[in-house]
Amino acid sequence: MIYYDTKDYTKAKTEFQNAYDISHLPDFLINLAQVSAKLDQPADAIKYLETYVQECPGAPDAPLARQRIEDLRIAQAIKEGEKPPPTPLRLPPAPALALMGVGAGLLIVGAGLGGGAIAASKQVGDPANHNTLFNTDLQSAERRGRALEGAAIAFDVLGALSLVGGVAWTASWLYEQKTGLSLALTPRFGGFALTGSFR
Amino acid sequence: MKGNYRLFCAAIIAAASLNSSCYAPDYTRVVYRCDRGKCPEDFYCVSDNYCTQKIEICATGGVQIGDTAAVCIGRANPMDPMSAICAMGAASSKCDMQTLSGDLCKNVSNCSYCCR
Repeated sequence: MIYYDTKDYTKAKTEFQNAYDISHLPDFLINLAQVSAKLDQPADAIKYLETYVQECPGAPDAPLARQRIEDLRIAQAIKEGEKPPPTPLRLPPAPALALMGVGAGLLIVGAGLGGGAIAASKQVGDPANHNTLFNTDLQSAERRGRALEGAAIAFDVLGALSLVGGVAWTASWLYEQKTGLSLALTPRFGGFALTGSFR
Repeated sequence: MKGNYRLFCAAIIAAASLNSSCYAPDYTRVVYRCDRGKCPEDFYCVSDNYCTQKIEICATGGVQIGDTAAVCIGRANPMDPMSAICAMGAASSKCDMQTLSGDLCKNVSNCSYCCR
């Protein structure tokens, strides 16, 4: 650590290598990757990080290590005067995409039902019906309008929830590298409440 | 997480308000006759067989067509053809007919525009 702090990275690397050889603690692999990067040895840094990810695939910083490997590969390619390898297209988690798709679909259906309710509303409020009986056709138009309005609200609420959930999940994946969702039923307000968090 | 809850609540309110007024017929230009006592929701059938709402401006009932204006149908005493159609304090003479659509009482018995 003293060599690292004094920026004597060559000696620091030797010390970290010795420490790793003796202890086999994976944390030293991260240190070795860092000093290798400082020494402008991206190939070595990549090798250490790959070993780390292989040994500790479930470590909290494993996603960061994978991202660092990608960055170092690009840096290495640039250094060697090659065209950087194409960055693989990173898509949000499939359930988040599905949530957004379902949400958008429900909102569209809700808008359609709302349109139906407006049409029924226009039929019942049509001035041409002035001084006529509020007959069975108009009665059924009123019932249809109210039913369509209720259904439209339900679809829109569900669609908005789904869409916002999907967007929040995508944001969580984008900024915090969280890909999973955990849901739990917890006792609250004298009953149970469904709570969720991204992980 | 608090931010997320707020976002969810805002989404629910926005979505609910999006369609909460989809079915809102404009009753200011149409007066219905009752069909075997049936009227639109929130309307009731007066003795003259017209669908009306209970409105303060009217002696019996009517259709609100403005903040202080209504088309009133039915007399305070159905047996007395001279009894009032407008409620106390309201009168046809107070209506500015240039700003109100003036044909809703056409062919409707015991009907009058009443305003405060």
